[in-house]
Amino acid sequence: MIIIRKEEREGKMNIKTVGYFKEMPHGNKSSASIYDYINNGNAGEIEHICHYLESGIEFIVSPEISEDIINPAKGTAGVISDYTDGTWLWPGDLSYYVKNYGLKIPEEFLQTMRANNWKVPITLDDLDFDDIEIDGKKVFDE
Amino acid sequence: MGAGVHGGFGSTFGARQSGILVADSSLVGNGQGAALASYAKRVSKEPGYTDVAIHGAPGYVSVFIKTSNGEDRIDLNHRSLAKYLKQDKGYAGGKIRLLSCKTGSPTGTFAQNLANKLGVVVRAPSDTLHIFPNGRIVIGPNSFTNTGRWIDYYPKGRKRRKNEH
Repeated sequence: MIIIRKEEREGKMNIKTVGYFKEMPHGNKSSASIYDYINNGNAGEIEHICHYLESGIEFIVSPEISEDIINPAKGTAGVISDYTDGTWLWPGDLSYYVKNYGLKIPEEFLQTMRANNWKVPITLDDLDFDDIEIDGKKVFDE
Repeated sequence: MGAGVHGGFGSTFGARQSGILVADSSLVGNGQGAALASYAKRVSKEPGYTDVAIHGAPGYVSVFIKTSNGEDRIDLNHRSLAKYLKQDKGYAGGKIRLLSCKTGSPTGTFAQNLANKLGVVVRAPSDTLHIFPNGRIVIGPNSFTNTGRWIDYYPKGRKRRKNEH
């Protein structure tokens, strides 16, 4: 017997959040600390990772400037818009911390990047906004 | 003038339309967060208000410009933005709604100063602004927490009124 999952039956796209560390003003307060992830980067793949993060689809746009939360004297870390590859959702300043502090990216997310050959596989047009869930929560429920 | 490399708008950005919005003014740049220009068009218009889309903070606004060495961030104070708006064909005067993060924060001064400088009502978000692809707006610390509000700032000498939206 073939079992069709509810998500597949209804065509839902469930995107998972990653990189919203609790110290970030736009972070998730129940998330891990960024200090547990810095200086532990994925050596040898940093350039690929940053390129992937920076070429994500800017999905939820926020006109806010993000300052470096580890060393505010360094200034801007980027913008805090939410970027996606259709599988993951991450903040726009995440690549800054990978590049400048050797931030480690979770292995599951890295596997997605490698499987996509380090190229974001979708465009904004590929996202069906009516059926998108983020961490299991519907985005457009109005 | 805020921090940054820009010396004024008179001979650069000013005296012409930004070219991004027809009826409104947008000063987004071509660097990080450039999608703001297109997303701003999807937000439902507020009758009587001109939308001004720009990256912001409680005390200043910023433009990201790509350069041969990467990217420059140009910070603008309320005087610089007022000068730009006066010269921009997308703004015909009247009330302004700032699509710009935290510029209406009660702890900041940007929206009030801009209202004073231009002599018009400036509506601004109390917290971070998040614009979804369908134009929906969330004002709050992140995209999923809608705890903020729009605040109207009146030119100096007039009473400030808070608007819940």
